[in-house]
Amino acid sequence: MAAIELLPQDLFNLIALKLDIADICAVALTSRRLHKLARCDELWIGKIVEDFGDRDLIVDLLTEAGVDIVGNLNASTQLVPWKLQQQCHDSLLTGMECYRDRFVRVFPASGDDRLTYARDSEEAIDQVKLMLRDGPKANDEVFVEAAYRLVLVQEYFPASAECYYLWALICYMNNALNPSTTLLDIGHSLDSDFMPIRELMAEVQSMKEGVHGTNGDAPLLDATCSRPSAQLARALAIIFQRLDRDRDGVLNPSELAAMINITNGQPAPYELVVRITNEFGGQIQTSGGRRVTGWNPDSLANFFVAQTLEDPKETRQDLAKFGFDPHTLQSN
Amino acid sequence: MVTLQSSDKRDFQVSMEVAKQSVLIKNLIDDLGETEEAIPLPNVTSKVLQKVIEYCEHHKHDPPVIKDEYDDLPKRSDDISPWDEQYMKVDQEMLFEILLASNYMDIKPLLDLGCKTVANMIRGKSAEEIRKMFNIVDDFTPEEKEQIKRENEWAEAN
Repeated sequence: MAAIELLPQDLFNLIALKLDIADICAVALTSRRLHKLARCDELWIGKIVEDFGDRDLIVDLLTEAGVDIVGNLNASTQLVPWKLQQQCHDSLLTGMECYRDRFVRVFPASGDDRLTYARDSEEAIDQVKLMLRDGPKANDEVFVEAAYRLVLVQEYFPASAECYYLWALICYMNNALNPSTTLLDIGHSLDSDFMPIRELMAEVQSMKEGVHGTNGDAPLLDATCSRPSAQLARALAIIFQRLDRDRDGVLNPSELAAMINITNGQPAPYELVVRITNEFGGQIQTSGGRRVTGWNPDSLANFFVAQTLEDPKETRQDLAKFGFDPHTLQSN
Repeated sequence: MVTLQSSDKRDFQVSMEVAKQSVLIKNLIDDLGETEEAIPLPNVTSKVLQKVIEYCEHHKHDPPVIKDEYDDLPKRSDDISPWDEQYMKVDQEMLFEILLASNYMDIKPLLDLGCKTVANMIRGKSAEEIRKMFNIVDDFTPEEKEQIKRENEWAEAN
C-alpha cells in the first residue's frame, strides 16, 4: 500500500521543495508522521538553496577563479547557517529555524528594517565597486573581501542581480571565463533587464571566442584559461627552439629582443626587454648548468597566456609572424 | 529488445530506447552488456511496471534531460503537458507507486511529474483539506497541535 505518509524522506522532500512554506507548514499540521517528514532539516536546508540561491555554488565558482572566501564565511558571525553541518554543530538551530531566520531577513516584517537593510546593502555595493575600480591589477585580498561583502548583501537580497554581476566581474578580472558565465546566467535569470549583465555577457563571450576559437579555429588556451591549449603549446615549443639561437635552453635578453623584433616589426626598446624578462622569467639555469637571466619555456607560455587574455587576436597575429597558420596554429 | 521482469515475475519486452530511459537499467546494460535474460525489478509490481513502460514508450523520443548546474528560479508545477496530465489521472495508490518506482528505476522526468502532481494536490489547502484529500488520520493531541501552530506562526504571518 503506497500513500503520502509512507513515502521515504527523500521522496517527500522532492515534493515539498515544490511547495510554498505555508503549504509545508499545513502538511506538518495533518499528522504526526507528516509533521516528522515536514520538519526534516535536510528539507529546509534544501529550501534555503531553492529560495535564496545556492551559496555553495557561488563559493565553488569563486574558488575556481582563485578567489577563496571559505575562510571568511567560516569565520563570519553575520550569516544564518545555510548548510546541514553548520546547523547541526554550530548553531543548534533546526533546519526550519535556519530557514525562518533567513526568511525574516529577506522579508522583514517592519518597513524600518526593510529600509535599513536596503540602505546598508547599497552602501556595501558602492564599497565593493570602489574596491574593484583598480580592475585586474587589484591584489587577491581585495577580490576576496569584495566577494565576501557581496555574500553579506545577498544574505538579505538573494534576488540581487547586481551581486551576481559583481561576482562575475571578479571572476572575469581573474580570467575565469566559465565561472563568470555561470554567475552571469544566474544573474540574468533573476533580472533579464539588468544591462551591466548583458554587457559583461557580451564581453565574456567575445573573449571566449577569441581564446577558445570560433569557426573551427584552434583554441589558444585550455578550458581553465591558465595554460596554453595543446595546439598553442606545440607552436610555442617550436618557437622557443627557433629563438634559442645559442641552444642553452634559455631565452636571454638579446634573444627576447629578437622575438619582439619579429612580432612588433621593429627593434625592441631596451626598457621593454628588461620589463618582460623580469616579469615572466628570472634567473634560469642553462643546459650547461650556468645561471643566466632570461626565460624558460614556461616563461614563454605564461607570456602568451597573459597576452591572449589581453588580446587574443594579437597572439594569432604573432604566431602568423613566426610562420604558423593563425587559425589552425600549425606550421605553414 | 530488453526483457524487464516485475516483482510478480511477469516479463515485459521493451525496446532499448524505452528501457534506457531508466538510468538504473541503462547503467546495468552499459556495465554488463546486452543480455537475453530478463532484468529483474524486485521493487516494482507488474501493474505499476506496465504503467511506467507506458510513460517511457510515449516519451522515448524526448531529448535527454540535462540538469542545469544551477537552478535559481522557483520550481514550476504548472507546466505539465496534457498527455502527462491525463497519464497521471490514476488512483492515489497508483500515483505513489509510480513515484516510488520512478525513484527506484531512476526515471527523472517521471519522478518530477509525480512530484509536481502531488505538490499540485497539496498547494493552497488547509491541513484539514489535505487530510481529506489523502485520507490522513489526525493523530495529534490538542496540545501538540497548538505547539505546531506556534512553530508555524512565522510562516503564516508573512
